[in-house]
Order: sequence, then C-alpha cells, then structure tokens
Amino acid sequence: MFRNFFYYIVILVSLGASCLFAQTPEHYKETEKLPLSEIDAYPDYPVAGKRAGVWNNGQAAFWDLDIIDYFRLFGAPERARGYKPEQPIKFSHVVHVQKNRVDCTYCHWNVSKSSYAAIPSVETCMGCHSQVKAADKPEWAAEIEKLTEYFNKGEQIPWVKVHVMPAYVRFNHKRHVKAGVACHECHGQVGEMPVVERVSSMKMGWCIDCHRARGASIDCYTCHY
Amino acid sequence: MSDLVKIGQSRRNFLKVLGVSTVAAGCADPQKEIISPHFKESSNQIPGNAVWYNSTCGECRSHCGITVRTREGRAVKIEGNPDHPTNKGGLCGLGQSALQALYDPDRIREPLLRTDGTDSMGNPKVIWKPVSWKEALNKVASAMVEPGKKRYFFTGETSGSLDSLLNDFVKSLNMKRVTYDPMEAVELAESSELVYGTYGIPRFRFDKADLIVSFGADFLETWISPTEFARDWATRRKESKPPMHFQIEPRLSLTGAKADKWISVKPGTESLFAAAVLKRLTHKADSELAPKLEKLTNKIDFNKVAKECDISVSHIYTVASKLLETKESIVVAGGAPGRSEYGKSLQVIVAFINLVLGNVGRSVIPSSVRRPATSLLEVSKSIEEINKGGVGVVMFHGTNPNFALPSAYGIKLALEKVKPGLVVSFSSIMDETTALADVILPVHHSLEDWGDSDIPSGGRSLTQPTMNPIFSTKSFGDLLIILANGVDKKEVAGGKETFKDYIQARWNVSASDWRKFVEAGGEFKNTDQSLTITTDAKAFNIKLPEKHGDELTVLPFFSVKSFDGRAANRAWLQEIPDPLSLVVWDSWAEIHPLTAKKLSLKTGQIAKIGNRFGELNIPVVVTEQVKDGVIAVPIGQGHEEYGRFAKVVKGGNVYNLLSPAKNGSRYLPLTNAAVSVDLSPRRDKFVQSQITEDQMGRKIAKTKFLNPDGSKWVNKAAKPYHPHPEAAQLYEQRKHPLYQWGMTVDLAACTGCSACVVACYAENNIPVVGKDVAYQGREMSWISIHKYVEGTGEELTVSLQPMMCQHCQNAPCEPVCPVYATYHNEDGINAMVYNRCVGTRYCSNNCTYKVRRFNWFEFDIPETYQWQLNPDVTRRTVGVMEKCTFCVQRINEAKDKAKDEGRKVKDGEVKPACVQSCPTQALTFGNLLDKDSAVSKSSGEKRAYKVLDTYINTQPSVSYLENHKYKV
Repeated sequence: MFRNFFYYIVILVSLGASCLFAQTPEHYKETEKLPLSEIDAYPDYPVAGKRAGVWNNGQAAFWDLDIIDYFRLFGAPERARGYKPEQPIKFSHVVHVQKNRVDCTYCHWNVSKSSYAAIPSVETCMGCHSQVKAADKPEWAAEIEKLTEYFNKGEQIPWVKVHVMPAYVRFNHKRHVKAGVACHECHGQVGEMPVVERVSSMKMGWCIDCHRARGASIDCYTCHY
Repeated sequence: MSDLVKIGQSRRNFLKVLGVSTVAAGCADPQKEIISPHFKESSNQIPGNAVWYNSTCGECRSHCGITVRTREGRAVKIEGNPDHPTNKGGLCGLGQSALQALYDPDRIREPLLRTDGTDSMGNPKVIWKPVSWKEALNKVASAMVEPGKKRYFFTGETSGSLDSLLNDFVKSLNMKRVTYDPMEAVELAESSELVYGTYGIPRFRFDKADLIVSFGADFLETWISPTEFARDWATRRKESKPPMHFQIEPRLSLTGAKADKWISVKPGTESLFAAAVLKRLTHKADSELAPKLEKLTNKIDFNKVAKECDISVSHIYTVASKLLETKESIVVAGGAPGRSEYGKSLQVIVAFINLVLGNVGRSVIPSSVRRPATSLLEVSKSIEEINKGGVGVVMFHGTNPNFALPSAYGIKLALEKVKPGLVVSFSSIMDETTALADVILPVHHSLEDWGDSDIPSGGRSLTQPTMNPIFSTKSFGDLLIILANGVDKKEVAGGKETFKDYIQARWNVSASDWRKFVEAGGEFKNTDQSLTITTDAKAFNIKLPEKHGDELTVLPFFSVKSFDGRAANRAWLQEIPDPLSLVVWDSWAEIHPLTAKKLSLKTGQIAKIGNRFGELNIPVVVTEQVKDGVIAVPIGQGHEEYGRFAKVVKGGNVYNLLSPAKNGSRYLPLTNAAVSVDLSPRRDKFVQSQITEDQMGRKIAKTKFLNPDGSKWVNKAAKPYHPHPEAAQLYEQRKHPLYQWGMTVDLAACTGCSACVVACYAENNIPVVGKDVAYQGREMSWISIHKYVEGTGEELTVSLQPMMCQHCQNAPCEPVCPVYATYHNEDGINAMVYNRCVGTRYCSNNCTYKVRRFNWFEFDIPETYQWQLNPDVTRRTVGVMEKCTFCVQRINEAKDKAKDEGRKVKDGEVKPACVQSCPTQALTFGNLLDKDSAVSKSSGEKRAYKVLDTYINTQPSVSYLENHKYKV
C-alpha cells in the first residue's frame, strides 16, 4: 500500500519535472521580427488579446492547462494550443483585418456554403493586390512580390494548415456559422495575429462542452463517421 | 497476391482532398498538412460540396444513364440517372465499377511504342517506350496512307456519333471495318429481320407480361439490357400474383434462380424444346402462317424431343399450355446457353412463338435502334487476309479478339505477319490485343470523354466529361479527327476540329437546347415505331439439332462478375462473391454431383479441363445447379494481360476450349466443346464466401409458395411450424424524437445481382482484401448477398438475401462494448464510432447476423484507386471494427440541407448507396416514424418479417419481404 503510494509520488514528480524541462517546440519560438510593429493596435480597433472570446478559453476542461497540454508535451504539436507554423508568405491578418477591416467572409466566402471554410484562391488575393502593389508597400514588398510570382507562374500557394484535425472528425463550418457561432469562438481574435496560431486545442471535450451548453447534438454520429 | 493488396506499414494514408489536391492527413498523429486552394475561383465548385454530372454509361451496349458525383474535380461515385428511360435510377455492378477502370493503376498513361529489348537474362523482351503524342500520331498517319496496302480497323459495337464518324473514317481512308463484341446478340437481330422484317435487337417489355418463358436468356444479369429488364420484371414480380416465369437452360443462372420453374435441358437442345412448344401453338396462328409453321414443326416428336433434351415430356406440355392460357406473355432466348450452333434457329422459333401469341408489338417490339454489326465471319476472313501479307495498318479499339476468340483463329500469328505494317491499338488498358500492338494510343475513359448513343425507347443519350483527364490520354473521337485531318481527309469530320463539335453538329439543336440536354444527360422522348411485320420465306427454312452426343461438354456463361472478360480488371468485381457459386477471386467449373462422382472430383479441387484446342486448370464447384454432363465455366477470367487484378486469376481462358464457328455464323457458338476432365497438378487456394447453403430450419430467407391461382400453397407433408410468440419487452423501449431510420428488402424483387455490394464498396471506402485474406474469412463487405438452397434437382429453391447490419433496437453488440464505441443513437441507427474502438471484437462475436467487419490489417490501396475514395467517409485504421452505417454521411447531408430550409428530411430524400443503386428497387429506406413513408408502408405489408427477431428479440430496423414462387 505504502509502496504503491511511493510510486505514485515518483511518477507525479517526474511528470511535473518533464513538464518544466520539456523543450519548447520549434514553432512556439518567436520566429522573425515582423517588418511592422503591427502588434500595436490600430487606434480604433478594440484589442482584446488573442484568446478573447474563445469558448471556454480553448480549454477542454478546467485542468486542460497549457503547461500540461498533452499535445504540446508529448507529440502531435500541430494539435497543441499555440501552434504557429511558418507560412510560405508572411500573410498578416493584422494588416488585413485590423487595419483594413476586411470581413472574414470576404476571403473565406465558402464558410457559410460548405463544410470547408477554404482558403481563398490566388485569384482572390490578386483581386486586391493587382491594385495594392509591392511598390506601394515597401515594408511588405517582398511578400507581395512572392504572391505576384505565384500568380504569374499559375501556381497554388502551399499554405500550411493551422487547425489540423484528425481524419475521423467531420466538422461542418456551414452549420456552425448558420447557428450563429462567431469565428472567434474557435479561432480567437485572428485580427490580432501577425502569424495565425491555434488558440484552442480543439479537443473533443471542448466541442462537447459548447454543444451541451447550446443544446446542440452530442450524438457521436454528428461528427464521427 | 502480395502485389495486389499490400498490408501497409504506414499508419495513415488517407487522402483527404481539399482545394484541388492536398497532402495526406494524419489520424492519430497529425502531421504538417498543406492546403492548396484553387488557383482560380470556380463558378460551380465549392470545396467540400459535391458536383453531379449526368452522363451515359459506356460499359456495355445498354447505355444506361448515369449521374456521377465529383468532389474537388474527381469522380468518386457513379449512380443511375433516375430520369433516364433505360435504367430509371438503378445501375448494375459493372456500371458502378467503371470508376475502377478510370482509376486503374495499370492504365496506360502516355503513348507507347514497342521496341525489342532484352531482359536481365538476355532473353528477348518487349520494352514499351513512352513517346510524345506528335511522334506517335505521325507514325500512325504515315502508315495509314501507304499506297497499295490493306488496312483494317477492328472495333467493338459503337453507337451514335462515334459510329458514324468511324464509318466515315474507314470509308475515306479505304479501310475495312470489322466489328466484334462477344456479348452482342447478333442472332437475335438476324432472326428479327427474318421473322418481323426489322433488322435490330427488339425492345422487350417484361412489365407487360403475365408469363415469362426464357430459353437461356439471363435477362436479369448480362443479357442485352439487364438493368432495364430487371426493373421492368420487378415491377410485376412484387405483385401478390406475380407473372409466372419458366427458365429453360442447362445451368441455373441468377435469372433461373428467380424463376418459378427451372427446366434443365441439355445444352444446345433449347431450339428443339422451343420447336416442340411451337408445335402445340400452331393452331393459334393465323390462316396464312399456320400451315407453314405446321410444316416447320411436323417432324417434331414430343417424346423424342424430351429424350434429346433429357427432360420429362410433361415440361413441354406445361410450358405450352401455360402459354396458351395466358393472354399476355413474353418468350425470350439467348444468353450463353442460347448461343449453340442452332442459336439462330432457336431465335427464329422463339420469334414465331411471340408472333403466334400476339406478343409482337406489346411485350416484344421490333426495333432498328440497336443494329449489331458484330460478325465473326468478317473477323475470320480478315484474319485470313492479314495472314496473306501486304497489310499497311491494323487498328483496334474497344475489342479484344486476342482474348475473346478461340486461339484456333490465330489472330496472334496473323498480327506478327503485319510487319513492316503497323498494329495500332486505341486503348488505355493493356489487354491481350493491345500487348501485340506496335503503337498504343491511350484513349479517354468514357467518364472523361464526350459521346452519345441512341436509346431504344426513343431519344438520344449524351456522354459528357465528368472530370479532367487524369493521364496524358486523348479522346478516341478526337484522335480519329486528328488523324483524318492530318492526312488531308477533312471531310470525315465535316471540318470539325473536335469530337465534341462533331457531336453537337450532328445533334443539330440550338445552343440553349444543347445545354439543357447536356445537363439532363440526353434527349429523352418516347417514339413509337410503326409496325409492319413481314416474314421472310427463309425463316421457315431453319435447321434443328438432330442427335446430341453424350460426351462431357463445357458450357461457358456470362457472369455478373466478369461479363465477357471486360470486367476482370476491377478489384471490386473480383472481390464480390459470385451470387450462385459463392466463389471469390477465381474462375471455377460448376459440375453436377453425379458427374463429379464419375470423375471423382470434390468442391475445391482443381480440375484439368481440356480438349485438343486448349486446357483449363480451375477449381471445381460441385452443385446441383447445373445439368449432369455439363461443365459450366464463367467467361472472362484467366487473362494473361489486362492489369494486375485480372492477371491474378489463373487457370486459363475458357474461350480457348471452343472450336471455331462453322457455316458463316456471325457469333461464336458456346456450347459445342467436348472436353475431358482430370485432376490438375496445379495447387491453389479456393475461396467461397459461405460454408453452408443450409438455413438449418431457421427461416432466415423465407419463400412463400403460391398455387397457380395466386393462393398460398401449403405443404401438408411438412411438420407444422409454430412461430414463437411475440416477445414481451422487459425494458423500456427506445424513444426516437424525429427520425427512426429503417429499411425493407423485398426478396421477391432481389435478383442477387450484387450491384448494392459494389455501391457500398464505392461509397464507404471499403478495402479490397484479396484472395489470401478472404480465404481466412476476413472479407470487409458491409452488405453481402447470402444464398440459401432448399430442395434438390429441378425443385431447387434458391434464396438470395442481401444481409447488412440490421440496426437492431435491442442490439446484442451494444452492451458488450467495453468502451461505448457502438451504441444506439436517437435516430435508431446502431452507430459505430471508429475512434473509440479499441478492437476487442466482442461486438462481432455477439452479432447475430455476422455483419461486423474487423480491420485486421491496414490495406495499401494503389495510389490511383485512392483518388476514388469518398472524402465524406473515414478510412478505417487497423484494429478497428466497422459495419454498415445506413450511409450516415448521406443522412447527415440530407439533414444539413433540410436544416438550411427549415424543414424535416422528406421521404425518399435519403437513399443509402445500396438503395439508390438497386436496379429492381428491392430496397426501400426511410423514416419509420413517418407513417406515410414508403418504408413504413412496405414494412407493414403482409409479407414483411424480421430475420431471427422472433427467436432472440433483437428488433431489427431492417424488414424483409418474403420471396414468393409458384409451385409448378
């Protein structure tokens, strides 16, 4: 009895230690200094913090803290909160959403039509950027040039997926948007993210929590089939 | 087999397609994932939503209408077009498996040139050198115009614009067109010309007959237009007093299994039987015809005929008297058994029977829409000519004579003599004939191409591309136009540059109409041809068989698994068990127990079946469903080429046993090959999907016997059957707030054609396991056709029953799951959650119906086949249980749509893949809570019962309607 208790203590202590000494994964580190100090808010934009308005603060339960996040510590970092992959073009939502007030559905127009939210096509980007050229924005010139290059070559931009879900999950954007769930309830204040990051681990407990609270279906077949 | 389905090492290779293409997603271990959005916004495509295109099936000559579901630019599912007059929504297994021809991993992806090289041992070996289209076409064009040389174009049967383009092409280039399709019923068209005066395959209306007599015609499986016939047949078969059906054939086909009476005659004697029947009917003919028919049949002696056919003489009298007393009937002949040497005589006699009984114009409508051009005579003449040399070019498209002709015709040797001429094959699959070509020009699959065809009931059916071509292939029509234009024969295509323009010009409709027809999949209208019956004098001058030998003969037959061999490269069709012999991944020989005893052969042993022409080494299935002295072998297996899935089936090609046709026959007689049988030295596994065909008295598949007047026949000799009383329920019954999904299966209408099985494979990403794994009983099909046999000899009653998860209300699988991976949801579905499953397999052990499938391995699907996977269904990983979900993805899609429109899901809005595909509409699906729904009505019918429910109180959601059959 005592011996078992002793083992538990050892396991708990070593777990705690591993949390403390665990290496911070690559993508959590601040990558590169961004050209604009656009982390500062534009004067009339109500800055609330990246996680503001996220359902349950992105936690599956009260104990689902960043410091003991399973995915962050032991693997599949793509599914951990704070996953912030480097993108082929340093596209800044701060500039587009916070500064220029572009609506989410202007680019992600699919979101209320299909289960996928879908990244806009290169053509959609160029719709504006045929006007907003590299020469007009010296601090973003390199990035706009990259975009123009993709367009001229007729290539698709290999964006890196941020909100990676396992293949057995069928999430329907359309249903959520139509039910009045705001984008930020899952994705956070994207307008305040120079590089898009995952503010919620999107664990099942977190989904179920919201579904329960709002009286949505919690049948397994709603999402898993 | 190892190259067929490799058991994967990687954890996940599920291809989730987003945008235009993506990199694989992880299941348990997600990896960095790339999203490639569209480069250009598409007007009709929203990523995540399916786009449907109406088109026409190009797999056989019936040209059914299809609706192709595409996701992100790729065809993922083929369904029947409900508006098409031919098939009205159903589609056979062959049509649905067209996706596997499109995504065949062995497809030829670019033009190839034959070069002679050597292998590592220094032996000569053909090396196919990829070349550019320009180079390949230049080579072909220069060979085409070489002066003073003979030119041949071997084609399959074509229809519509392609037919006219091909004819113009061969005419202007001074080529000789030779058509050969082994399944085309030329003898039927010829007899129609002789007796009715109209060359062409008549239209048959099985819904307009109270009595069906079929001499070997397997009209529910492969004969002429099986999907259409099955549909018509089923509308009447579901009635409480269905039409009586006699099937006269040496081997029980699926059609025979559904018949009320199977009369097993000796192969090749059907025409005698038919003539004897005609003799009894001559007095009904009009005064002009009667004496001629009497003269035709005056030599017929009933007892002699009965002896020759090896049947009881009473059978002739029964069939004849039923025909006399029934007002509306239909008599058909054909199929493999009808293709004896006397096949044409049989067709002529049957045409006379229909004429005498007044069926012509009602159930048999002479038509000139489908005019077969197949001629074996022309083929053999051309081969002789090619053998003489001086040939410039020989082209092949849509026909595979090196497989579908007996080796005695010597096409292989003839093609070797073509040099320095050129053998060109327009094919994107390396079949036996293409393997002999010098230049291979790969053509589009019909899902990538334009085309059209004539519909027998009137109107035209249109084929449109449903996706961009996946490989560097070209449209066959385009190629003809390019070649003709390249040698300055611009008049062939009338100045048009593409085949699409050619079709559009030929249709000659306004742009808005054209758009309408493209959307609808064709121009559908009903045109009645005026009828004038003129009987040729030659029709009375037919030959009948005299003395039939007693030697063992081989009877090749067309099966739903391989047709004439064209379906042998489809993994799905190889994987599904043959509904009657239950064989998987194999060719087989059906032998009667008495013959088997004489030859001392047992089921599963490999027999050497040979004659002077060739030899087969195939496993034996001992069964009473074949005539004594006949060895029935399915046509179409034993390929030497034709892709990995066809080549894996060994044992030889049954065509090679046949002797060449005599007397200028336009088709290959199938029933004349005498053989000797011995035990083969070859050893191989033999897989049948069922261990027993006995129901053990459990009344799983029920059959109600009817008296000829339609009342119930009661077997007084049988022990009285006391059904269990309805079970009292101990627990509170489940509540379903909105929907309770349920299904009914009408066993009277189910033909066992296995279209539902193929549909399920396609819809639900079910892995194909291959022979080795199937041998261990680990096949993965969610729905399978179970076969039960009662009685012996000609009194056989074969029950074919689709069995899928019964979605029990008291499911035995649910309480035993330790992790709540299977449970009952509020829609009445027995749900299976893959990501919860830990693979204890308790549920499978406890399942009464044995419909749960366990993923023992993770199967590597060839890359091209992965493009067909349904992105709405999870591919299951190793260690996970799976089973029928009632196509929950379709239910959710319908609910999603209904929610958008603020209503409940309507009746008939959700159709699981099996229900949608069923050619006979034997399956009905819907909401059991809605008392007006089709499923509620049919599950409340008198015939309805639930399998094993009264024994173990599982309360299935699936009801079966019992089969009915006349006692004759």
